[in-house]
Amino acid sequence: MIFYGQLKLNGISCFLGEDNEGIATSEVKVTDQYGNEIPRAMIRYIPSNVKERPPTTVEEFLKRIATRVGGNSDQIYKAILVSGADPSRKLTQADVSELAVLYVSTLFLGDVRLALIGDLLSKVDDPLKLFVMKQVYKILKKVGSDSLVFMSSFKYIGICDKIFVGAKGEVMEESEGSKEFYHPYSKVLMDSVIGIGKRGERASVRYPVTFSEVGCAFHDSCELSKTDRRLRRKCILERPKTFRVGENRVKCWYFEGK
Amino acid sequence: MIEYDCLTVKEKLECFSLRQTVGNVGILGEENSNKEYLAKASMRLISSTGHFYINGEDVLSVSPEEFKDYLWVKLSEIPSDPYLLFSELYDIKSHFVEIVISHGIGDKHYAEELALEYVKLLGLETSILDKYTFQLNPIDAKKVEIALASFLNPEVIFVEDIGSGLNDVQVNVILNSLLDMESVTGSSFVVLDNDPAVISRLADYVVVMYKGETIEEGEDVLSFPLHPYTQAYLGGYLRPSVAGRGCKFSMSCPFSSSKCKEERPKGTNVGSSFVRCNLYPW
Repeated sequence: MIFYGQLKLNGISCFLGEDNEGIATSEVKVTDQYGNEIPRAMIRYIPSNVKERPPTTVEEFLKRIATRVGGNSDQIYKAILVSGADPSRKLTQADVSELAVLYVSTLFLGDVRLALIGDLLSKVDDPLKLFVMKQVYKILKKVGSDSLVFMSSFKYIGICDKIFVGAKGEVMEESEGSKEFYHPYSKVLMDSVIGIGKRGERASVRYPVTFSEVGCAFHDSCELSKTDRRLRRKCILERPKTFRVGENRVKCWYFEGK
Repeated sequence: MIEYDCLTVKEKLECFSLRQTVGNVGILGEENSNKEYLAKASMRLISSTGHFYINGEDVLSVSPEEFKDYLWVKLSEIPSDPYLLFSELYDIKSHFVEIVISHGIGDKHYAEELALEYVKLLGLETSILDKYTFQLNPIDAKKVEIALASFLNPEVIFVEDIGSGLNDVQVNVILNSLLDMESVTGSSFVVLDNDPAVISRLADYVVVMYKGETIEEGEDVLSFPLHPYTQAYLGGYLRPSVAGRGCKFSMSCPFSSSKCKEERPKGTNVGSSFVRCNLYPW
């Protein structure tokens, strides 16, 4: 278990929502469960915009990273084995999905206590997203360190042991593995996942989500707060407290006293 | 009504043909399917051979000057990058005005009226016309892009990967905007996308492409996929793969035989679909 600022991370923790990746590069105190600070060198961040394709092979690339982070040949072998990458494949010929998996496989190299993984799926083709998530899951479980994975889609929450939902780094709902969500923003994100539909069928989310600096960040786009004047006033003016709803912790005034 | 007759782009697109089709066409494919070359070749942005007919007229055989008159009026494009159609030096309104005046369709006021109408149809505030693209968020930029591509009611609009750079919520909004636009214009869309959910809602006829060639097409491809590649694509168990010598999917196909690895399948009609796979006909 690791504390990343206010976030209690356990296993594969996922942070869903918009513009959350900024917290990966912000100054945050990272401690273990006993309050001991974790050195920066043991925290690895794989940003969502990994585009660099050095003109080398997969094996050569891993060797270079190993030299930088203090990895050994056993770890390189493990990275190749678990990621399923072809060691002789040139990075310049690799698909975006292969590149994303390769970057995540560098977590095998050196000593990693916490892995921060950006929203890699944003650049990957839809049919290969599941492949990437499966590989990421496999790698993170084998590496064994705690991790925080940033995602914008609810479609792949199956890999998460713990889920945070929020925007701009602010948590609105926290779930300890339960796949039930209650915050209106979580519900919008859930509804926005669309599958194959009928010709002409409309998607259920009709308006873009906007976030406010005051009160509850989601109040501008919240349908729930519009049902009651007193509630609306509170949502606009005051930051919501955390309430226990089902197994989740939800920051929403609607659940006050319920 | 559109028709393609062996449209070929060297090393990218292999003899793409599509029989006469009414309604919207969806081209489903990954990034490496080279589907974007279809739009580029149709818009004459790259050199190609073959024919592309709009209502019986081959738009690729007309002179470059004549083709300029067709742009925006007969065919237009909604690129995946929402900022690509615009110049940062001019406000949004000027783009509409420039197109109307350069095509001799009307004057500045007529262009502004049309722009206003289409911006309203997409649920945007009218003040957006006085803004510059760098002042727009991606979703507003994408909507303005849709308005610009469709305001002269072209016969064909190419719509490229609407989800590119957008999250799920934004994709929902843009998908609904395209459906709104479809209901008020007479244009046919050619939707090039990697997301079957988008294609299923926008297209009447679906073509599946893999590494530059059509491997399956028909009206019911998304409900009854026949080709192993389409089945893997829709089933979510696709993996990155390299192209085979015969059938391009033969290196990753669970049903691949030595014949698949040597010979390119000719293709056959199965029900209402056309599929290029040696498994068919049974």
